[in-house]
Amino acid sequence: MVTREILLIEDNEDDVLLTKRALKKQNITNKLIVAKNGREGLDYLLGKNGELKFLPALILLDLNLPIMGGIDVLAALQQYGKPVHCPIIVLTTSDNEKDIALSYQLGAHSYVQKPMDLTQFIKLIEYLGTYWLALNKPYPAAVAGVPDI
Amino acid sequence: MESLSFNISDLSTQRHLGHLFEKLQTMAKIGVWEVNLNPLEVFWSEEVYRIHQVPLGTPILLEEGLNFYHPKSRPIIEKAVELAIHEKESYDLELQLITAKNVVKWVRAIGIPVIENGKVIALQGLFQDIDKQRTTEEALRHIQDKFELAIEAGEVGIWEWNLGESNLQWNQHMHQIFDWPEDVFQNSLSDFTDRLHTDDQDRVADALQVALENKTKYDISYRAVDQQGNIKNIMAKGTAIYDTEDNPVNMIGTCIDITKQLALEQEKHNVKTQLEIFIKHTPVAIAMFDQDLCYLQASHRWYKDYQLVNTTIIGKKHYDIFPEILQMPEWLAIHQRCLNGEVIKMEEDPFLRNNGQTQWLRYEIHPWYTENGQVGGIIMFTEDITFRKQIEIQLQQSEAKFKAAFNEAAIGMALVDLQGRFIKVNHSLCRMLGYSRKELLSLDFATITHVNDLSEGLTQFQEVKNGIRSKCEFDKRYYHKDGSIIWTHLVSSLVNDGSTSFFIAQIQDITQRKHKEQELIELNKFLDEKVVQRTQELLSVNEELESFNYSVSHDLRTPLRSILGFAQALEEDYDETLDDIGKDFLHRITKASKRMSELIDSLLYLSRIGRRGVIREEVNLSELVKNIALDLQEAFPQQSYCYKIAPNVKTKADLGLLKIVLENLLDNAMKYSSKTHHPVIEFGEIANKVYYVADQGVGFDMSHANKLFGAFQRLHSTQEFEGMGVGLATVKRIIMKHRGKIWAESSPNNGATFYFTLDTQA
Repeated sequence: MVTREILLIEDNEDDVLLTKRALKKQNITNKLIVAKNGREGLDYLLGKNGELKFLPALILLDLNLPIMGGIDVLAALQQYGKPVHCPIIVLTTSDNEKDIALSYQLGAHSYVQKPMDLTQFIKLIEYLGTYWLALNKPYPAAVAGVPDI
Repeated sequence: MESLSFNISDLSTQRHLGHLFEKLQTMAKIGVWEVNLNPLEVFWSEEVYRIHQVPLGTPILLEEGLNFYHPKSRPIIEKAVELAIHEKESYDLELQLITAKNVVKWVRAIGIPVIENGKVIALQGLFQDIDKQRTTEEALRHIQDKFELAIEAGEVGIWEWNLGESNLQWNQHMHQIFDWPEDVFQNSLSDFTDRLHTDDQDRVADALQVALENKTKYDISYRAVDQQGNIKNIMAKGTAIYDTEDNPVNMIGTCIDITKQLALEQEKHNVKTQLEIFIKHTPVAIAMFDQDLCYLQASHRWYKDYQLVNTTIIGKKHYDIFPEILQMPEWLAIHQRCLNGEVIKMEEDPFLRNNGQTQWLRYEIHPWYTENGQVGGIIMFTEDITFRKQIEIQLQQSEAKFKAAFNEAAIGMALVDLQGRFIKVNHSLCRMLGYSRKELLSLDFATITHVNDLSEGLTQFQEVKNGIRSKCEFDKRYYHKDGSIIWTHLVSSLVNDGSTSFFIAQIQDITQRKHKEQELIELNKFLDEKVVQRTQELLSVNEELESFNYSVSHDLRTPLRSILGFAQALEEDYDETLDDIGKDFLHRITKASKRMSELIDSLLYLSRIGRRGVIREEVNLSELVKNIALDLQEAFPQQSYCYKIAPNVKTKADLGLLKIVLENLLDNAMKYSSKTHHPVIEFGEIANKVYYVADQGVGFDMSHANKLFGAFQRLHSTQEFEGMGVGLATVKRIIMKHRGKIWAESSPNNGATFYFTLDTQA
C-alpha cells in the first residue's frame, strides 16, 4: 500500500523547512507536496470540471497566504459541494477567534496554532501524525473515484 | 193690668183724690175711659178728651170714639173691642188715631171687660198718648236703618262671638272683607285666628283675652290673607257683654278693611320721607343764598362736598366761607350776573381751594324770586366731579403715555383694523420694514407678509377674533421694502376702544436671532455630520486596529517563530561544532525570541480585553477575592500570605473582567510582598464605593506613579519580579470600561494600596 502524500499549503519557506524537519523528526515518511498559495493548493486537488483529482493523506493549510488565503481555500472546497474525504488541518499562527470559527464552519477538521517553540511544534506534528495518519483509516480512494497512488 | 184697675164709682168720697188723679193723668198723658154696654154710655176722662183734641164734655158715642182711629188702626181696635165684649178678652194696643184737629198720633189703648154675673157689662180702659215715644222709636228705627246702610256703604263687617257656644258669627260683609274660601271659616274662633297672618295670630288671641279679662274694648289691627294671596289690613273693634255674675257671655264687634287707607297713608308717608331723603341725599350739593350771598339753606351734600360738616354757615356770607372765591373774578362776576336774573350753567370748572387742592365742579346757578317778582338771591346746584376729572386726566395722561410709548418704542408697533389694514404704525416698525409711515399706512399686513407665513397669521387672527385664543404669538417674515426678508416675533391682541375693535401688534425684529438660529442649526448639522464622520473614522480605526492585531498575531509571530525554530534547530544539530560562546549567543537569541513572543501574546490579550463589551451583574467582591487568593496561593508556594477580606462587599460589574482586575491586583500584591516577612494582603471598601487592595510589599516611588498603568511599563526589573508589564494596563482598561477610576498610594518598602471605583450603571 502506497502511502498517500501530505499536502502542505504554506507560503513561508521557513515554516516549510521547519515542518519538514518536524515530520522527519517524527518519522512521518509520507511524501510532502508543498503549494505556495491557496490557488496552487486547490489546483492540486481539483480538476477543471471541479472533480476531485487528488486525495492526500492530510492537508496542512496555513491561513495567511498570498493570492488565495486558507479561508478562501476552505470556502472554495465547500463551494464545489463535494466532500474532500481528507482531513484538513488548519495550521496557522493566528489564534483569532473569527479565523477559528470560520475554519470549522467551512469544514476544517482541526485547527492548530503553530507553537513558537520548535520542540512543541515537533510534538504537535507527532500528535497529528498519530491521530490522522496512524489511528484513522483514510477514505478509500476507489470510493472517492481518485487514483490511489 | 190689674194694677190699673180701680173703682171710680165712689166719686163722692174721693173728690179731692179725683182731682189729684186728673192731674196725674194729665202729667202722664194717660186718660181713663169707660163704656157701659147696657145702656150704651161712654165716659172719657179729661185727658182722653185732650188726647182726641175734642172739647171737654162733648158727648161721645162709642161709634164716634172708634172713628177717631186711623183707617189703618180701626179694624184692629174694632176687632179688639168685639173680642173684649164677646170673649171677655182684654187688649193693649198701640194704635194711630186722627184727632179732631186732624193730627195723627200714636196712642196706647188698653181695654178691660167688666164682668157681672158672667156677662160683660162694660169696658174700662186707659188711653195714653204715646206719640212722642213712638216717634222716638220710629226715629231710632230710622237711625238703625241708616246704620245698616252705613254698614253697607262703609263695608263694615259685624261679628258676634258667643263664648258659651264658642261660636263666631259673621255677617255677609265679614265674608266679603276677608274673602276666604268658603270651606275655611267654620264659625269657630280658631278657624278665624288660624287663618290670620302668622305674625298676628297670637296678638289677636291675646287682645281678645285682655279685652275679656279687663272688660276693656277690643281694638286691634291685624293682617289676613285673602283667596288671591293678598294681604289685607283689618281694623277690628269689639265689646264684650257680661252676665250678672260678670262672666262674659259674648262679644260683638266690627271689622273694617283698612288696607287701602293704610296704603294711602303709607304712600303719603313715603312721599314725604322720599322727599326728605332726596333733599338729604341728593348727589347734588344745593345751597340757597340771599342777595348778599349769605347762606339761607344748604343740603347735606353741600356740607360734605365742601368739608363744612359741623360748620355753621347759615347766615354767613359765601365769600367768608370760601375766601378763595375772592381771588376768582370770573366767579364773582357769575354770581353778580345771576343776581341780575341770569341762569348760568357750567359743565366743568376748577375750584382752586385754599389748601392747594383743585376741586372740579359742574354747576348751575339760578336766581330765585320773591313774591313780588324781585330776585331774592341765588340757588347754587353743584356737583363735585373731581374724581371723574382726575380719571379723565389720568386717562389723557395714560393716552399720552401710550402714544409716546407707541411712537417711541424700540419695538415695532402697529394698530391693525379687522381687515388687516394698518391704522397706526410707529417709527420702529417703519424703520424695520424700510417704509415711510405714509407708505406703510397705505399697505395692509398681508401685502408685506412672507407668502409662507400668511396662513398661520390669518388663522391666529381669526381665532382671536372668534375668542378661541386671547392673543396671537408667532414668528413670521415680512418683506422689507428693499425685498429682503425680515424675521419678526409678533404678539398681537384684540382691543376694543368702546366703538371699534382693532388689533394691537408688537413686532420684534428677530432677523439676527433667526440667523443665529440658522447658524446654530447648520452648526448642529455640521456637528452631526462630523459625528457620523468621526464614528466612521473610529470604526475604520477599529478595523485597522483589528487588522493590525491580526498582522501582529500572524506576521510578527511568523518571523519570530523562524528565528526561534532555527535557533533551536541550530542548537540541536550543531551542538558539537559550536563553542561555548556560540552556544551562549544562541541561548540569548532563543530567550529574547521567547520573551518577544510572550510580549506579543500580552499585547493581543490587552487588545482583546479592550474590545470586549461589559455585561454587569451582581458581584460579591469578597467571595471573588477569596477564591482568587486560594488559586494564587498555589502560584506562590514558597510564601504564606495572610488575607484580610472585608465580608460582603458587593457591586455590579462584569464578573469576568472584574476577576481579571482582582487577579492582577492580588497577583501584584502577592508578587511584590513575596519577599516580606509574614505578608498581609487586605481587601475592603472605604466610603463611596471605593474598593482597595493593599499589601505590605516593596511598594514604589510615587513619582513613578504615572507609569504604573501604562502597557509594558515596569517599575521593577524582570530579574527582580517576573511579569510582562501589561497587568495594571489591563486593570486600568477594565476599570475604564466600567467608567471607574483607579489610583495607587505607596512609598518604597512600605507596601502599596490600589484603590478603584466602578460605575455600576450599565
